[in-house]
Amino acid sequence: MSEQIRAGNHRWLKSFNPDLQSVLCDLEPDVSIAPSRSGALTLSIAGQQIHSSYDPVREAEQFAIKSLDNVPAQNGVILFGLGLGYIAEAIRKKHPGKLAVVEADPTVFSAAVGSRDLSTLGDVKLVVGGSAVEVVGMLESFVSTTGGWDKVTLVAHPASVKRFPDYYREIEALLQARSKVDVGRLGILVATPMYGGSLPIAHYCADAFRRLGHRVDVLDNSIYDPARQQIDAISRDRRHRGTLGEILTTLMAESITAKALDRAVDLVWLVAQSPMTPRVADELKKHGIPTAFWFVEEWQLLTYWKEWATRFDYFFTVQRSGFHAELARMGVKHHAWLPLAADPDLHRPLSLTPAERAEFGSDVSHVGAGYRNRRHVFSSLAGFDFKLWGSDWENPGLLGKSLQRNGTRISTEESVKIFNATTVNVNLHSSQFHDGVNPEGDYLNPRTFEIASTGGFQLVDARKDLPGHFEAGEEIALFHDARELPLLISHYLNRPDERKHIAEKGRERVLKDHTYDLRMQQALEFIYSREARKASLRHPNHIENLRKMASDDPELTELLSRFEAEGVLTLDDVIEKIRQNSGELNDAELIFLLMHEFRRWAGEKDLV
Amino acid sequence: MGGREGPGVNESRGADRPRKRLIIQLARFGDVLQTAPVVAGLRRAFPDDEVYILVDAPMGETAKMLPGVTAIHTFDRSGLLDALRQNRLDRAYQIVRDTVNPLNMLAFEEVVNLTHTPESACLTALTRAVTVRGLVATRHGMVSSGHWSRFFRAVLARREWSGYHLIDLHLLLAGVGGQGKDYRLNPIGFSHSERRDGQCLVGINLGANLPHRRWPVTAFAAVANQLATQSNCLVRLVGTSGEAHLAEEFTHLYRGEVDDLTGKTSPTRLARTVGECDLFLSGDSGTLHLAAGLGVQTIGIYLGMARPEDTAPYREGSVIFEPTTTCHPCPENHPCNHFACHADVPVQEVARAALKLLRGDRVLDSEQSGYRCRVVGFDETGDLDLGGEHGRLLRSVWADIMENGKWNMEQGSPDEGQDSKKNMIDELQEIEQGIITGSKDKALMSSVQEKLGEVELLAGNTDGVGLAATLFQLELEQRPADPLEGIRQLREAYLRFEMRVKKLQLIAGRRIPIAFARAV
Repeated sequence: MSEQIRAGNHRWLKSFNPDLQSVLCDLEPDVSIAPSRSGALTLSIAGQQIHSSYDPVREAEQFAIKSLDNVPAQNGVILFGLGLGYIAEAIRKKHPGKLAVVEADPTVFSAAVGSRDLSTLGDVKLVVGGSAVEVVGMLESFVSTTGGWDKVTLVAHPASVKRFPDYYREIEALLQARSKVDVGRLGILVATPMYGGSLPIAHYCADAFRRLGHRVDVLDNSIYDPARQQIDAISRDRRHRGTLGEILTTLMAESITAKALDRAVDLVWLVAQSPMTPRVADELKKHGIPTAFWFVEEWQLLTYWKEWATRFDYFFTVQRSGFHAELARMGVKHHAWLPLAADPDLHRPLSLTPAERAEFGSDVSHVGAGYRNRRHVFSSLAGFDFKLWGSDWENPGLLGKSLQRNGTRISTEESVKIFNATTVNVNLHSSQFHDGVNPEGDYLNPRTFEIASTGGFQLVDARKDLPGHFEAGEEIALFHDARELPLLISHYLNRPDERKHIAEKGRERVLKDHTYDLRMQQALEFIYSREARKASLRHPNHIENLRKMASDDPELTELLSRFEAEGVLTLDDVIEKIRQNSGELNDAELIFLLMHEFRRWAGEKDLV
Repeated sequence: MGGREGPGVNESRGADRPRKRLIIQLARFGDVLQTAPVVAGLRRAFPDDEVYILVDAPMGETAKMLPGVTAIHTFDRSGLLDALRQNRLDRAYQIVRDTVNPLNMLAFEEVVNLTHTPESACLTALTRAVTVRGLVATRHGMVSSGHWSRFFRAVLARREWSGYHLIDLHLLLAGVGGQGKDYRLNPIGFSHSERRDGQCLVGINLGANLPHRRWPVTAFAAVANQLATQSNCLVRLVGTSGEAHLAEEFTHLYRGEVDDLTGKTSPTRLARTVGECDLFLSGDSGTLHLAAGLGVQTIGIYLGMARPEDTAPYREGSVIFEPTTTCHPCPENHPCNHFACHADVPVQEVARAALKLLRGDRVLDSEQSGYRCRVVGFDETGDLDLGGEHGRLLRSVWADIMENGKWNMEQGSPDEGQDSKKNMIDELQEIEQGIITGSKDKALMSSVQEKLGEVELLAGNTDGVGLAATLFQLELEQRPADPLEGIRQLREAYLRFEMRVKKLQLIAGRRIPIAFARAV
């Protein structure tokens, strides 16, 4: 019989969840599958009962009725905890919508496959094991069939949650974040810097938030850049300039609070160099508006983040190694790595006119500021048809004949034309401390993604983070040092097919993995998975808050200590714990029992 | 009649005086007032002790009318409801704590819980009193402590088989049975009456909490009109603001002078205005009990589910009118909606009785076609008695069952009880042996199997008799038409069920279900 069941289940898995066959494993000795009093099999692991020892079918039916009480019929249901499949079956019977089941433990899944006919579950989506993030990722396709993350309901099988409480809470928070972020109801205020490389990035972020469906307000502080320049002209006294600069910063920062409150935004998004003052950061915190800061600079080079990192609720970086350990040490609670990206609406292939090709085109070009290593490396490119675009190239020396427009700033639109018109776009990440390629360089600059996104061919210096982003030689071309660069330029200039292939693949990769839309989605999910937790922490029934109340009540303290997991407690959670206990009821237990009984009475009278 | 369950004397807290006793009464206005005889009973039985009462917060004022109460404590149920509505566990917890802490400080010798709700059972347990009477919460459920408490619980759904008035049951539960009759409320300074010299004051409460309990306004007005023709009387109307339309209708129909206080009385003012009446007419309501407690002569019109045997005013000479239609009183929670019997209570007779009472004449029991008039009295043991053999017979049977020791293994005092306990343990061992060895006694096996679910719940529960009472109620469904035969069978059934549950309980205590499961 057992073999028949197993064979049937394998056929069923093959039809609906083929990947899971490899997850099946042998059962540990502490797994017990035995008949319950009613005859149906029941499961216990390490002495912990997963289903009723009396009647698991009835238990599951009652649980399903209770859990599905307020679930709209068209909603999808994600059940946490497969067990032996009783609850999934009961939900299947009661609920017409789609069903997915997440089982944390491959052993439980294997026990179910080996002991009960699961084929009646039909097209249930099963996810077994994996990190919380992976689980949510694996549920993507299921959720798309239900109409979105806000159209799914998470149902938790208590015995399964009890085994993996933190894992469950993490999945729950991620699902809440998905639901919040996906429905596109967020109001986001983006405050840009006045000038500099992070100014366009702030706009890319705002555009991405808009495309994701959120309500976006932009405080474009570039309008104050003339004022900033005017300040420089007002006085030669540094202190006076400093005071005036502070006033300007205060004006811009206070505008953030004013706008955020006026528009009742859910989030303030800032990038490197966006204006901020401690007072405004505190004010936003006071109003419960989370702030996120994307530090798109080198952390060891520009160290102003040190005085700001703890003031923001969320801190995103383009670098990983060492930086996050430092942030954690400083007490920054929520920080994450968020690499740069491209905006395919802007960084796109263009059909250029002959005049534009003549103006922006060349065999070789570079767009960027005149850093030390670039001056040194590019001096060897004099023999090529080489155009150098960008600012800060004072005293260009031999590079003078390559420098375009006398080193004036290049707009985003112009840079896109250059990337399109150039045969080999050289991208050397800047360094003031090296003569060639920085061997320690890790993060990828915006141009790496932007050139690839335009479909231009790119020869970039080798960076530590590159392998995770592009496949070298297939999606992007690399050079490792100054000597190699002219050789590789010559190589690729003579191989148009190879260039074309790499450029196309590079663009495909950007569209797939490196757009601002994806980055902003990731950032919002990070933020709102934690906001959900913060919201739960603010809840008066959060165990932390109840513990505070219990400080002078030893019996309540003891009762609360029986909860292993953190989170918001319900009266039912507490009653469940009380029922598991033995001996005489203590005062805290009695008080909760009273509340439970009173609520039941009030429920019968329709008073609650 | 045999001896009753005596006062719970427990010297474990030493002989310090005064000891403190608490009554928990979380029900409504009328119930709070009717707690007075229990307070009086406890005061009489324990003259040196202090008696406290815990009531729902809005009943705090009302409880001041109970003579002999040392202090009134209140429970903020409305606050608790709000906290639970808002899902604020912290606030809800604090509200209960704030109720319990001052009670704990008093270190009660005994708690008498007169409210048969799980909520009151939890409060009872929280008082940590030395002895408990009534429903109390334990790890394994709500347990009725004291056999009269269990009796009370068992007959809640079958009131007609009780034979006892609610106050007498409360007195029995409190261990002070037979000390009744003493229903007296604190008069709260009478108001200055509007009446003129020689004018009698007749109070009327036109309303009732449910329509099937409400005698028509036309009927009350007709009675008042008849009184007005034969006496110089002022009618005073009391009631809730929601009953103003009834008062309006009455005023329209009544030809005499009306003092309409409907919707204008706090509990204190209500006591004042009712207390100075010469006569009070009402359906079965809290105000009727208030009037009786304040020594006012009353006429109660008992309709719908109201049963005078349970809830007649606890005052000698109180007059009750009720229909005698076969369907009266309405079955519990299934009242009719045609109210046909309301017209069976004759206005003429009510008016005649009212006049007699106003003149100081006696009203006698009578039964005519369609209605019955009964006058409250008390039997030789002090229990309220409305005449007729039926009630007396029921009470004597119950007293016999409850007091003779056979039924209650926990008491174990009479020899007969000891013997049956021994026999039962022998029998239990046979059952146990049978289960382990796979007995062929299929009937027994199936009986045990059938009850396994219940046994799991019962494991460790000392209240086997509580369940017996529940099962006993099921047996009542099968009662024969002949009441005397029914009573005999009840007694047997009660004993039988109690025994069976005891056995199952003991089996559960020995963890036999596990062995049983293995054997299967």
